[in-house]
Amino acid sequence: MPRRLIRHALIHVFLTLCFFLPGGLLWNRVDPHLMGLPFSVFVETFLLPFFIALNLLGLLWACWQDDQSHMQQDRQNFKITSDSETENIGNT
Amino acid sequence: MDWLLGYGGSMMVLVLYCAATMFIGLVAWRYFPQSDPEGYILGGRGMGWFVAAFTLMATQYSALTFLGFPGTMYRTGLGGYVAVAGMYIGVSALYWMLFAARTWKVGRAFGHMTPAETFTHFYGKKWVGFVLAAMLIATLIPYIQAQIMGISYLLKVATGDLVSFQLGTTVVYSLMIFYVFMGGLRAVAWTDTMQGLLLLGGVVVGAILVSYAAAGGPVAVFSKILESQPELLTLPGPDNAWPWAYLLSWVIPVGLGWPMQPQMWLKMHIPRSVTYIRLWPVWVTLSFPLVMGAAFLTGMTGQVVTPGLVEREATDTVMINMLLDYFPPIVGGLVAAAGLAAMMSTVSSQIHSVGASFARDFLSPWFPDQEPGTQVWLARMAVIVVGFVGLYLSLTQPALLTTLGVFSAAWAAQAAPAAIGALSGWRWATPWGAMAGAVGGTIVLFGIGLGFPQQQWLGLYGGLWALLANLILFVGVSLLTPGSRPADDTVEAYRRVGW
Repeated sequence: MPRRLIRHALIHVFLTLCFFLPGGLLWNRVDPHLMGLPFSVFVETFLLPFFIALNLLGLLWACWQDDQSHMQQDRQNFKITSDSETENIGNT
Repeated sequence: MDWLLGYGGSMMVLVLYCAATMFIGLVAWRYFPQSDPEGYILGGRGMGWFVAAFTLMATQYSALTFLGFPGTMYRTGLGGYVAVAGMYIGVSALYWMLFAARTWKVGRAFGHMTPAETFTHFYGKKWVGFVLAAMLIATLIPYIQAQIMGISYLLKVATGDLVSFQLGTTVVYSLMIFYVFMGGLRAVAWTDTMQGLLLLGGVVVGAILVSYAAAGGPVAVFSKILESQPELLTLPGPDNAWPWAYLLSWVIPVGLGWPMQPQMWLKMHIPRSVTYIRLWPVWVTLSFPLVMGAAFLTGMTGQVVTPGLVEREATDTVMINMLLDYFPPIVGGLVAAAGLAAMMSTVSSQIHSVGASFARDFLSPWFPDQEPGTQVWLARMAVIVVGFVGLYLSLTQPALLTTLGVFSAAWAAQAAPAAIGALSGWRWATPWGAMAGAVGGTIVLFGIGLGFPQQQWLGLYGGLWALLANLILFVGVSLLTPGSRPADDTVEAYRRVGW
């Protein structure tokens, strides 16, 4: 499994565990209010999903770049193979 | 005019919705005739990002989104929302993040369509595929039955009791079987896209409308809850509803169960590009606050308007009942159409995937030299048989199946260790280990589920104990049966497929 996948998966697990914060700590309280919502509701329904989506988008971007470089490499390999085959045909 | 705003208008909306669904299904069949199994079962592995995203979303959100989860959130407040969030965007999204693209690549490399084909190929034994496919199909029966009950209830309420349980169920179910039979995956995916848009709009608009009409809007709803029942807005919720350990033990098996279900697995193969499949968890995470935020708002509005409901049916139907209290029935009909969309999109995908699995995993091995056209007809016949068996069970065995329904996702999760072993190309995994894990996990799940109150033991949900037993057996038995390890060529081929 590629390292970038493991890295993003660990961040995902950490953010998911933040959802389940035990009673009375940090954002598991109703004050202050943000956008008219109690703090706990704001964090759990907007902020944490937003951070999780951001991490997933980061992974998507990294994988997309990786896929592109692989495709470029495949195209180059294909071009080299095609050129050498053309050369071989020319020699015969 | 009164007729239009009343139950007549509501029925008209529902008939129009059903006609639109049928029309889309028939267009898919007419313009993309299915002549080979890959076309019928996977839509030719050629779906664009929009259809792929919406078919996933519509399949994932079901009767539970519309009826079950708002009720859970009504009873347990923010804890209910966090449980569902942990399940979908915590555990399921993590699985998709790690294994969806891998499943897509393995499917392309080796021509797999169903989960059993991957199990059989990697573990090298046909019986592993048979047993796990049978188990995954069995997990869907109670789930289909729960959706059908949701459909019949919605139809009954939205038409003012004009449509009976048997009639509503038979009509809607036959409609689904027809378009799945004709158009295969493409019909399922296209109708899912229409249904996904309707679901998203209906659940969000319905929740906001109700909150304004009943309590003055979302901010006012939360202010009133803060004054009257602040414990609904923090964890673990009223009466210690979701203690931390139980919450965690519940989301892991249930969240792992969704991606294991055949309809979700099959859909990992349908996008045209691997980038689209990598977009899935992002899409699930982004749509989640909209859909489940609306369900949470509905639950809280219900607490403001009609606090103190205890009956499960009363809390589960809080949204549709409030809509009918505050708006003319035609509005209830519009939102009921969104609810129907949520349920039908799930059931049609399930009928299709179970039909596909039945044809590919159980019939094809007995008729190995079939023409592609014959394989498509086998899959179609399987869709009809499976569809009508589901309908029969829904109409005749509701009590038994509802009891089993609670195990559905946690039971499907018992295929997860074997799936992860195969997809990650674990060279020490053996078919005996996979089998021992799945069977042992299922026994533990049913033992705790049927033998202990609230399906828990030592404060933890039975599904987690089952998954732990499964893992121990899978690893232990695999290490004890080294003679059955996958061939080196197979492990190497899986390694070369990439992530």
